[in-house]
Amino acid sequence: MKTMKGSLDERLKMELKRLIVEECDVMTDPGEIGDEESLFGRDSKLGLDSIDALQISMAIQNKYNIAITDSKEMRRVMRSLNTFADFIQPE
Amino acid sequence: MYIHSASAFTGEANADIHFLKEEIRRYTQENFRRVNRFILLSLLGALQCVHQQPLEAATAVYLTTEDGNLGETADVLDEIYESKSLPRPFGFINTMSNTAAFHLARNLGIRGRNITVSSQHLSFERGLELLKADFAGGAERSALIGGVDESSLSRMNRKEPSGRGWRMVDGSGWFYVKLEKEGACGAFTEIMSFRDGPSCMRWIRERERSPVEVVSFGALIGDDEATALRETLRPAAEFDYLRDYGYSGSATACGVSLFVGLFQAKTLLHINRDQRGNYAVIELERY
Amino acid sequence: MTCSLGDSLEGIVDAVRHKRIKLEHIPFNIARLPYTRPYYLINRNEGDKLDNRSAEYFYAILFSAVSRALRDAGLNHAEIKDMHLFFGSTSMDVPVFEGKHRKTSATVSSMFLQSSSGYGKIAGAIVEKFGIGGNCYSFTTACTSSANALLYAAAMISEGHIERAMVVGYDLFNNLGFYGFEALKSIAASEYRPFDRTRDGLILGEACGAVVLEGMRRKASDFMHLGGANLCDTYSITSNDEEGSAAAETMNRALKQAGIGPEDICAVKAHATGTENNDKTECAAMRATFGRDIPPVTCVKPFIGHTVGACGVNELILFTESVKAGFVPSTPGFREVDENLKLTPLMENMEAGEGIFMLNYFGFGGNCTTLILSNKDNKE
Repeated sequence: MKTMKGSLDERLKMELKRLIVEECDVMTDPGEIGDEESLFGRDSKLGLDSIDALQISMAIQNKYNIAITDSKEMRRVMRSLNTFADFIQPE
Repeated sequence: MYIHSASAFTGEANADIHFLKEEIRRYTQENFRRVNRFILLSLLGALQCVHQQPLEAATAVYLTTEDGNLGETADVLDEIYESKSLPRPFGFINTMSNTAAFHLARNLGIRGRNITVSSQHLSFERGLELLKADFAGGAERSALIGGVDESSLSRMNRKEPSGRGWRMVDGSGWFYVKLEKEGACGAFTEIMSFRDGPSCMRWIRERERSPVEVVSFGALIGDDEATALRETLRPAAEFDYLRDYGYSGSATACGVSLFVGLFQAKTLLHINRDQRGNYAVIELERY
Repeated sequence: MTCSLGDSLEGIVDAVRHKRIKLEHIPFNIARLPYTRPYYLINRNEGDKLDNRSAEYFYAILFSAVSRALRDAGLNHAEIKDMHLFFGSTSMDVPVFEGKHRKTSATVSSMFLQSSSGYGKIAGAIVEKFGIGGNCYSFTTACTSSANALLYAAAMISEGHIERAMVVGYDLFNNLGFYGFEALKSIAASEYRPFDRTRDGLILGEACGAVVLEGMRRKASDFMHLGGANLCDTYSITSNDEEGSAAAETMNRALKQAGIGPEDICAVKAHATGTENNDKTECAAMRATFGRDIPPVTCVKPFIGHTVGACGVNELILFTESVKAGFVPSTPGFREVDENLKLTPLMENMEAGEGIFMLNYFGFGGNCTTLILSNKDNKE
C-alpha cells in the first residue's frame, strides 16, 4: 500500500481529529480542528492539558502501537495536527 | 446555620449520562469534560440549588456520600483486571470522589474549604457537624453542603435498606448555607447525635422548641421504632420521602432539602440511625 | 504505625536517623509490561508478600496500628468508648476486593459493585472491633484525606464538640493506584529525589498510622495542634497553579489560625511528591509565605514513599517521633539543586528541641491542607 507523509494524508488526519475529540471529551466537530492550530494550553482553542496528552498517547499506543514515553516529547509531537500526523506516519 | 437555598435532584437509576449533561445545560454553559456520573450528579444537584442565587466568593464545599464514585471505579478495575492494561488517566483520576467537589468549586468560581466525607448511613449528618465546627471556629462563613450517591447495586442486592420496596435512584440533595440570617429561607436549628435509641427518644420528648409539624425517618429506622416516634410526636405529619422519591445513599440530604421546597410547614425533625444503633437528628425550620 | 520501615516506632525513627530505606521493585504482571517500578512495600515477613495478602491481612494491619496507638496513649476502657473516629484514605477497601480476586473467578469490579458497603466501612470495622462508641468521619480527599481527618479532629476538640479522637490514615498497596499513577506517568524510575534537579516523579508506598488527640497533654513530649487550614485550588484537577497562590494562602490561613507568624516556624515538612508540578508549586508557595528566609525544609516521602491518602497521619507520626528523638529528618536522595527552584532541603538531620512546625499536604482535586504543630510547653 502506498503511504505518504502524515500531514498530507487527509484520511489519517481526520482519524486523529476524531480520536482527539473522543478521548478528550471536547465539544467540537472533528472537522473544525485546524491542521496548524495549536492543541494545548489555555490560549489554544481546544485548551488541552497534560492529562489530555496522556490520554491521547495511551489511545495511539493501543490503536497504532506507537509509544511516546516522555511527556516533553509528547508535547512537541502534538504541537499541531500536522506534526502529530507526521509523527504517526513519517512517510 | 441559615439556609439560603435548598433543592434536590433525584433521577432514575442508570439514566443515560447525556441526559444528565443536558439537564446541567439548564444552569451553566460550561461543557464539563472528562466527567462521570458521580461528578455530573454532584454538579446537577448543586447548580440547581444555587441557580439564581447570588453566591459569596468565599464559599466552601462539603460533599457527603455513602459510596462515592461507584461506576467509574468499577470501570477502571475492569480496565486493569479484564482488559489487562493501564487505566485511562481521566478514569483513574475520577476514581477519587473529591474531584466532584473540585469541579463544583471551579464551575462556580468559589474559594474555600473542599471536603468529601462519608459515614455509614449518616454521611450527611456527619458533614453537617463538620460544617458546624467550621462556622463556629470562624474557618468559613458560607458553604454548599450536599449528599450525592449513584444508585447502588450492593445496597439493592443485600436488600439493605431498600427491603421495604423503595425504588433505587440516583440522588443529589444540596443546601446553600451561611452564618448570616438575612435573606435566609430557613435554618438548621439542631444537629444532634445519640449513642442509643432511648437517649434520642428522651431528647425528642424533652425538647421545648417550637412544636414539630413534620417528621421524617431515615432508611434504617424500623417500623416499630417509627410507630413509637410518630406517637410521641403526634400530631406531626410524616414526610415519607423514601416512598415518594426513592432511595439512594444520599436519601437524607435529598429528603431534607425536598422538605424546604415542598412544605408550607415550619419545623421538620429528621430522625436517622446507623447499623450500630447510633442516632442522629436534624431539626430544620422554614421561614 | 506500620510502613516499609517496619512496625516499631523506635525502629522506624532509627532507620530515619540513619537514612536506611527499603525499596522493592514491583512488576505490572496483569498488563504484562516489560518493566518494574519501585514501591515502598511493607515487607517484614512471608505474610506481607503481595500474593499472600487477603481481607484478613488488610484488617490485621489496621487493627494492629490502632491497638498500638490506644496502648501508647494509655487510654482506659471508658475513654476508648467515649472517643470519635476520623479516618482518611485514598483507596479505602479496594485492596480487599483485589485480594479476593486471587481466590475467585468473579471480576474485581463485580465484587466491588455487589459487596462494597461504602467509604464508611473501614471506620465502622474499627469502632466495632475496639468498642469505640463515638461518631465516624471518613475523609476521601485524595492525598490530603488523613491530613483533613487530623484537621477536623483537632478542630472539633478545640471547639468543644468532642473530647477525644482517634485519627487513622491507611492506604495499602493496590493495583488501582499502582497502575493508575503509572498511567499518569508519575512514577519515578528508581530513586526518590524531591526538589532535586534530576527528580523524575513519585514513588508510592503503603502505611497505616493511628494517633490519639485530646484537649490536654498527657505526656510532656506530646505535640499540640495549634491550627490548620484547607483550601481548594481550582486551577486544575491534577496540578496546582505554579505560582502557588492557593497553597500559600492555605499556609497563611493556618498560621493565622494558630495565632503566629511565618518567623515562628522552625521547620517545614513539605509535601514534596517529587513531581515537576508539585515541587514548583510548593516552592513558590513557601517563597510567597516565608519570603527569602524559608525555614529548614524536610521531605519524608523518600523514607516511606508517597502513602497517598494515608500520608497525613503517617508523615505526621514519622516527623513528630523524629523530633521527639531530637532531630528533624534529612531528605535522602537529594543531591543537586534545581536552579529553577533554588531550594535545598535538609541534607543531614537537624538537631531539634522545642518549636513550632508546619506540615503541608496537597492532593488531586486542588486540595491543599496545612497543619501547624508545636511541642513547646508555654502554649496552652
